[in-house]
Amino acid sequence: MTEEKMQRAQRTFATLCQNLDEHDWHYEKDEENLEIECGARGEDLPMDIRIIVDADRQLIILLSVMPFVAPDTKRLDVAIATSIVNNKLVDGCFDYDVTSGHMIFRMTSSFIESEIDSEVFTYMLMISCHTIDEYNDKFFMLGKGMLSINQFLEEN
Amino acid sequence: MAELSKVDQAQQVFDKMCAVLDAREWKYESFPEDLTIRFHSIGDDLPMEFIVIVDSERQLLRVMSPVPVDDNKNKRLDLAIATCVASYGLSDGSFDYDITTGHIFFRLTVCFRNSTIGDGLFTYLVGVSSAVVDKYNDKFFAISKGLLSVDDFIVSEQ
Repeated sequence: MTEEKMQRAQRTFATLCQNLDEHDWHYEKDEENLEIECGARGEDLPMDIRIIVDADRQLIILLSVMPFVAPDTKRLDVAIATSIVNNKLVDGCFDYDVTSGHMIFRMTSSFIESEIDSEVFTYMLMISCHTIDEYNDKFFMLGKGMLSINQFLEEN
Repeated sequence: MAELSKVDQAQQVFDKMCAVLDAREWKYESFPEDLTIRFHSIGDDLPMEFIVIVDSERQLLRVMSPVPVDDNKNKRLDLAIATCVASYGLSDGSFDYDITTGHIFFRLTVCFRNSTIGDGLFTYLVGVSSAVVDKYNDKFFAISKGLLSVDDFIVSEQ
């Protein structure tokens, strides 16, 4: 990796931390690996958010692991629901591992040869939290059998 | 950058994108009134179409690529699973599947609010989108035609 790429990644990471500080977010910082972890409370389920500034690929990657695992019997339903939800999103997506039942929300933004403003992090956090909060309880209920795929389709 | 209006910044991003593509002698159709361009590319197998939209209101740069599949209603559940499997392995972008119409789109988005976008970012958007669509479009097409089972596709991705 070139020094220029590393310096750009460090500047991007500093902008991220500055943004979180300005908005009084509580977070844990790993400066060596250019990662932060924070949490947010939505209307129902808690949200854990991890943001990685990938110096090598020059990517900002926001990940949020959903706090549930869909059982084998519900994996097709959750795959259908994931497709329906992702098709409605403008940015970010729910990544669903059909073999394990795990689900992660992911939003990525490249900063190759670019200077990213703090506003981009406000956007990423705001859209991610809003999207996760809107759908995490529905995925959870679908996986638990508390909501049928037909009910999910009707609501979405 | 902060003093630029959303419209001005979007126009600046659009102009820069066209300049980068021109410098690389990419052939594309331009729709300046919509801040949109469209271009085609030949992959290893199927042709690919890309639409790049500069969304002034939301300050987003969006790449969309429709993936051609056979309209086989019996394969829609398989394709819902297959698009999940393909997207799960990506670090950027995702395949969106409309289970009611059978349409698949690859989507990749970048927010440029108040930011200075470099030439390399446009090259990245085109390069990554092309590589990902080229990798999966033939597989989705084969699943829609019944030439590849979704189970075999899952095994091939592990």
